[in-house]
Amino acid sequence: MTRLNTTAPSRGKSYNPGPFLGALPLPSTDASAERWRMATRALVNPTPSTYAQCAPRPSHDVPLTERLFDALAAFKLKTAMLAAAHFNRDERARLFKQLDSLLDAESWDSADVVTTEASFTTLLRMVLFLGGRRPALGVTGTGNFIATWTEGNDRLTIECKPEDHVRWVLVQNLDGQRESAAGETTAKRLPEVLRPYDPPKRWFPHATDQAAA
Amino acid sequence: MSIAVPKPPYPKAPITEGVIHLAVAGTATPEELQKLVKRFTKDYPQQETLAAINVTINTTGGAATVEQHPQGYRLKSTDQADIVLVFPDGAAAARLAPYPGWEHLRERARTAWVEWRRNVTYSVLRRIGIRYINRIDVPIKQPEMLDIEAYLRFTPRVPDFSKQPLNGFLVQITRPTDLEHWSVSITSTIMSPAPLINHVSMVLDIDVFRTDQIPGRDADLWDCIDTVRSLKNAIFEACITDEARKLFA
Repeated sequence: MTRLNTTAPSRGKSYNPGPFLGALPLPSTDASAERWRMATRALVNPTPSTYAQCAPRPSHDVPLTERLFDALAAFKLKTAMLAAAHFNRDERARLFKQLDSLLDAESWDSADVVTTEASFTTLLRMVLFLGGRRPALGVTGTGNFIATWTEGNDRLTIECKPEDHVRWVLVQNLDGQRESAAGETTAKRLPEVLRPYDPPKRWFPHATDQAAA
Repeated sequence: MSIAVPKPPYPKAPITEGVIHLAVAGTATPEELQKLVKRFTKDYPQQETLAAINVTINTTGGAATVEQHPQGYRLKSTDQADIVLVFPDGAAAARLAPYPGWEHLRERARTAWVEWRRNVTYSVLRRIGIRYINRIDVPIKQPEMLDIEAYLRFTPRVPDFSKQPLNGFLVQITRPTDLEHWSVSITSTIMSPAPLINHVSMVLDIDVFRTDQIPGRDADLWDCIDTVRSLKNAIFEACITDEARKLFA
């Protein structure tokens, strides 16, 4: 038997996909990445999705419509590479429709901060981790995605920040009494943090089971 | 309750990227490449120039210069899932997830090759490559030891000098196949960090290629490429276990 050490879940360590060299991810922020790249350069060829391209222009030089187009393209590419087989065609089509609608240039002002790929990465990883019902999506003025689950008057809203950080706001009604709570955590800790409330059990039981295991 | 072992085609095929690459024994001119790229505008509206970036630093004067050298083009469909790469020495068609099947990728590659032959002087092939990159995402709960061999049959053979588990691995082989003129390079490795929360992701990269006696006529070329379909499937199946197959259900 060849055993592999699966790293212990770390609350402080977030996922940073970085650039890819062929099949191998190269987190550019990791000091060891360059050594890894050098060692594997001869072994693994880059694939069509991963070739280096011309350096992007500074965002202030780029018209809003182009920035939105580029962001939309990056989100769709990220979906293909990150979600891979975990979204079926219908889920993927629904997500792309939501993205097309959110990033429609008609709804944006030239001064708006275009939603970032880092926030989208957090959103995608969180949604795939939580499973269950897919959320409605929105965007903030600071470049982050917002995911919302609603049932009757109850609502869970999660702002997806870079590097798996999330800010959540929960509003629910119990026996006619409205209560609310909010906090910040990482996507991986969400089921645990929200465990005292009903939403995890109702909307993403898969992740609740994982956290309880 | 045990999960039945699915058979291909898998409902959740682990293919993250399928590529058909045709390399020619010459070099297209920049004008030919630009003409070729224009032909793809309808199917691949997003077109990027691929470039090598050279940074030169003058260590005595302190001045630095950055130069970009165009190497080719990457053309992408609206949904970003279909890609064509155009280089001076060949073209490649790729399909990202979700993978719709061999016919889709083959047709994209065939169309790209037809355009290449129409627009570029050099079209004698020196290499054909059919490459599939698979990512096997194994769910994990809490820190645990994962038995790689429970999922992959192509794994490192580790001398018994320690009881400690591996932190990572990368193995690669290249060998001829039983199909005359075709060889294969197989790479298996771990993706670290894993792209998904609470998962370990193993990569199985299979590149079936041919450099000898490549057919010159188009009809023969695509018949030749079609023969590889079952070969690359058989290689993939030989490299995985039933536990891995259950993940694709």
